[in-house]
Amino acid sequence: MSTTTTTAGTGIRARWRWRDALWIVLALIAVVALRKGESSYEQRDAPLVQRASGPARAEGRNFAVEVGNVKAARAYLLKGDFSRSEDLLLRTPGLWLSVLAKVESTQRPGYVSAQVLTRDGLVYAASSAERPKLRGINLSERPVAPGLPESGAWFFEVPADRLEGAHLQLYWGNGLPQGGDSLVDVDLGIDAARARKLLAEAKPVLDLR
Amino acid sequence: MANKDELVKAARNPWWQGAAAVALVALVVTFALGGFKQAKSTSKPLPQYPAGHRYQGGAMAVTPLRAWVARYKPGGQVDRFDPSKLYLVLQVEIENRTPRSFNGFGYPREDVILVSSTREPIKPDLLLMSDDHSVAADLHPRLKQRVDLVWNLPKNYVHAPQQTWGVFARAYKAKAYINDEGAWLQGKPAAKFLIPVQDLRDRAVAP
Amino acid sequence: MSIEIPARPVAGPAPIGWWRRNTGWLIGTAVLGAIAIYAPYRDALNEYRDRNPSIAIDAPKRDWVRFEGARWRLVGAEALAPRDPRILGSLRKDAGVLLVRYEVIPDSGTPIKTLDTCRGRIADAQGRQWEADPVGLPRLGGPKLPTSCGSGYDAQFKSVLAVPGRPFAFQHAYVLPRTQKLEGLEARIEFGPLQSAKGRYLRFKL
Repeated sequence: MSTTTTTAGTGIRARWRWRDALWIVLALIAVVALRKGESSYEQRDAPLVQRASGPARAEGRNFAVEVGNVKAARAYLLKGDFSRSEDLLLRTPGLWLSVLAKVESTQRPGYVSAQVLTRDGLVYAASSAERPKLRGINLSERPVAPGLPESGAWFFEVPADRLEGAHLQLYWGNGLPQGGDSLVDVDLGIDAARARKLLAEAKPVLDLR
Repeated sequence: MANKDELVKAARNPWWQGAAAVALVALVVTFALGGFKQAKSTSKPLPQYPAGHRYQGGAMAVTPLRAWVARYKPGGQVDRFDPSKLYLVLQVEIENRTPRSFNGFGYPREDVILVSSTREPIKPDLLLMSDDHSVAADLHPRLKQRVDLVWNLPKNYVHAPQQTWGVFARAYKAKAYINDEGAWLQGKPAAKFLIPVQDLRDRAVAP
Repeated sequence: MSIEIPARPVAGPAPIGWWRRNTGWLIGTAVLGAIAIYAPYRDALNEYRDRNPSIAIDAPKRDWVRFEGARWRLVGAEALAPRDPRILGSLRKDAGVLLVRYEVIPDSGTPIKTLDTCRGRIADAQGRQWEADPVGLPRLGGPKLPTSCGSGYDAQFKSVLAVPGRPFAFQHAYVLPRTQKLEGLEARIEFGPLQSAKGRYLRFKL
């Protein structure tokens, strides 16, 4: 540090006070700004979104998916099984959305899960394997192995007015999307006209027996 | 500890004397205005609602519809091996107000409780979807779904024409945990519902 | 004429540079900085290795190899043809079944529960892996062997346990794509993160 010689002792002290005070203030500003600009936990833990469009094959870290047709229905009629003998009418307060897909894993065996992201940022998790219970069709909780693709559909319950601009998101694992892992975002291509068409073609009861 | 000389010197200091006078005046005025009495409880009594009122608790909006006592679970039959089993069922309409689907056995089980006679919260033992009586599945955002909350009643249950249920508030806190993760945390009890309980103990099977 | 020799200011010894003065601190910072960057990486690598064993212990063909408190041997691997009569249940059309048979001799101090936590894997040359006894495995006929490394049920549906010093035969069954070639495949025996395997697994070339 350069020393300025001056005869007045108070002169040195005065200059020292202003310059050091300035450094301290700048450091405080830097601390506050860095703290405020810190990313939140959710931003740090976010999965890596990989956008894919349309029906082409979309690849994530450990899986590849081909998304097919999208269909809507207001209720499903399912065959009864050993726990209940009669046919079951599976209703929903919104709309049943089924998305056909072919899923395979590329490196390790495991599970692929799906969710629907609507235009206003709400996330609808895929319905579990029990609801609707369609073995061989419902892709929820279905184990996939490399080289052995699984075909079927994911089922979602969404409000009827939130079909437009919906995206299908897929990720590896059975729970919530893991931070840092792939989240493949597929635009289902539902614009206003297609949404109206889906609603118009939605059967009041779709017989899946 | 100051020695005696210092204390005497301080007492002669006019500044200290002034401060002592101000303190004394403040004490007398506070006492006169009632500041030393026992503080009244600041918590307001819980609002009490009838059936059909929609209460929004942050994470979900709950509308209790009706309640009944029966010997069978909703959609089931009387247990042949133990016909004295009794169930108290409350049918609620739940709307998920969070941005993501949550499990029916998560927040609804923790937040909608039966208030016992000793004012203890009792969580439901089983949650079933009302339309197909299957175990409660995921509840999706902004969809109103009817859920049956089932409580197993003890054998010595005396039928009361009305029961009190409570709902806890649940709000989102941005930095809820040590690692700054945000979560929907349960808050204080927020609403009470007094709902008449239908007596269906004479029925043998669900309608 | 007097020559004026200007007075030269007597300089003291040359001031030591900043770098030399702070050598100790700089070396210390470099060492601690290197440790601070390397140590978390090594911890994360060990944690990853616990769950995904990546250090291979190669087993000689048809010979016993020591691993995790027992001696292991690959007895044989057999691919079942699609119409093999031993496949009793339904199998997907694009898949085949591979049976891998082992023998293990536990050491005297090895608990059977530890051996039972073993996992079987088949890996190919590209690194794809399949797990043993998956959900899609059909019911198999033929001589029944235990499917776990320490205990199981034998052909008479009696419960058998591995006994120290005696070979215990078991079998892992895999569902592989039918187009998968047998060469280049390797069978693995892995243990979970609670064991002392520390990221090692046993590898048998098929």
